[in-house]
Amino acid sequence: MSNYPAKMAVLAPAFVIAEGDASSSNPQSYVFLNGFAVLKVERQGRGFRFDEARQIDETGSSSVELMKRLTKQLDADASVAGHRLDQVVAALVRVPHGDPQAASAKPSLQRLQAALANEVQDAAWYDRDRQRSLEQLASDYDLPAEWHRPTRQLNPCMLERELSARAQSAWLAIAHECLSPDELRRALADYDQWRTAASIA
Amino acid sequence: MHHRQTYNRAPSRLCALDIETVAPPSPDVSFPPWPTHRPVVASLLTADQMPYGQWAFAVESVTFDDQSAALRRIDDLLASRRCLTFNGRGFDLPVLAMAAGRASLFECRNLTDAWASHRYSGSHIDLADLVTNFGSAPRTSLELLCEAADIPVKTNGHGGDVEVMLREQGIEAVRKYCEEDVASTLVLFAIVQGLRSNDPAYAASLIGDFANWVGDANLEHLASFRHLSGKAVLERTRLLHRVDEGLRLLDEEAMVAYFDQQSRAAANLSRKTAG
Repeated sequence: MSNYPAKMAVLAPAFVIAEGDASSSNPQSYVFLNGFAVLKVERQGRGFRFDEARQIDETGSSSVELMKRLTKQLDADASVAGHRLDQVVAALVRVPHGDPQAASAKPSLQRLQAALANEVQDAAWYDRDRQRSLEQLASDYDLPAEWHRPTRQLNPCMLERELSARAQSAWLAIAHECLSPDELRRALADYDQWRTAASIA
Repeated sequence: MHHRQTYNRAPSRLCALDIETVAPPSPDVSFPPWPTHRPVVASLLTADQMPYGQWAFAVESVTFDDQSAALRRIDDLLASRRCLTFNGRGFDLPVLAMAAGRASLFECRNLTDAWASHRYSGSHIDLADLVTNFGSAPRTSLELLCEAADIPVKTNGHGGDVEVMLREQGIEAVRKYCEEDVASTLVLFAIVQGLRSNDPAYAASLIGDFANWVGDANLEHLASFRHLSGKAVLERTRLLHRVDEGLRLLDEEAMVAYFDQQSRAAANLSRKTAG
């Protein structure tokens, strides 16, 4: 298993699937990104620095723009992390198709490609009981992540909160598995401090 | 086409097949000759590559209470897919072909094509041939090969135990055992094919998607295959392959749009000239 990376971007995106015209000779389903949270965690000396970017598309008009903003969060030297990254990446690469701005999505995909060339971390590797233990972990840290709940049921405000909670619980799962007990203690202390500051702000 | 080139083209639609049989004991205690075997279970694991490089899987086992129905179902599942076996050319397919003969079932085209295909045609991939480079290395067992490649294999019993398994635990135990064998065959094939065509993305994508599917479909008897996901190098290769496919399709789409635009412009020009 891979080690805990020095710099990590934990992705938690939400997608909407639009079915194509079933009567056409080539019915396709299109996948639209409609929101994301990216939790960025970086080791700094003996501590950890946290930052988060979130965005929800309330118009449903274009997901390419949203994808550009998501991939902008991926530093070239950061490892990509998340939960079920195979599904996340599979959905992200489908986003541009059928969108009038499709061609402009290419640099975003290339940015994603460059980031994936670094180490990857997936909370699903450590979640032996699929999503249930991750949900348990989220609840231990008072995170309102409901992994089993389809995101299309959530209003924009709740979706933003949910995606943020998912990114954080995915990071917690990775941290619990990959950090030594001493490092984990320090990471959790910094995480608590960041959460408190973020909630005050 | 040279057989090496034929085999190096990585198939995008596969059907891994394995059968379990019973046979009267041979007087010298060796493995009874193949014509004496009667199939009891056949397991088929299909793997179809979708756009963007993702694989879709399904596993199905048929029992031979109704021999004709079982053979027809096998034939259906083999349609438009490359048949993948381990030693199927020497055992599974001749046994099934004889069963079809007994049932006077002559119209199982996909099954008989796989049975009658010659060794180098590539329409039936016999992994026992492929991995030994068609006999250049001595033949060996699926079990030893999988152990060497760190692939789960025969965690629920052994081929020689089928008769006992059937008597003591019933057909369900044989089905699970047979399904594990096709799973091992598929994963071993992914590695061998990846090596032969120097294509790590093919191997990573087939193995990683299969491991995740086993978890998602909650197939407890195949749970040991889930450990194949989470190997960081394999995962990264698989994810990069996904993005490569996305970029390739994006370029393709842009190309189609460009040619559409060009042909529309040419049509407009010829209309103007005619006018």
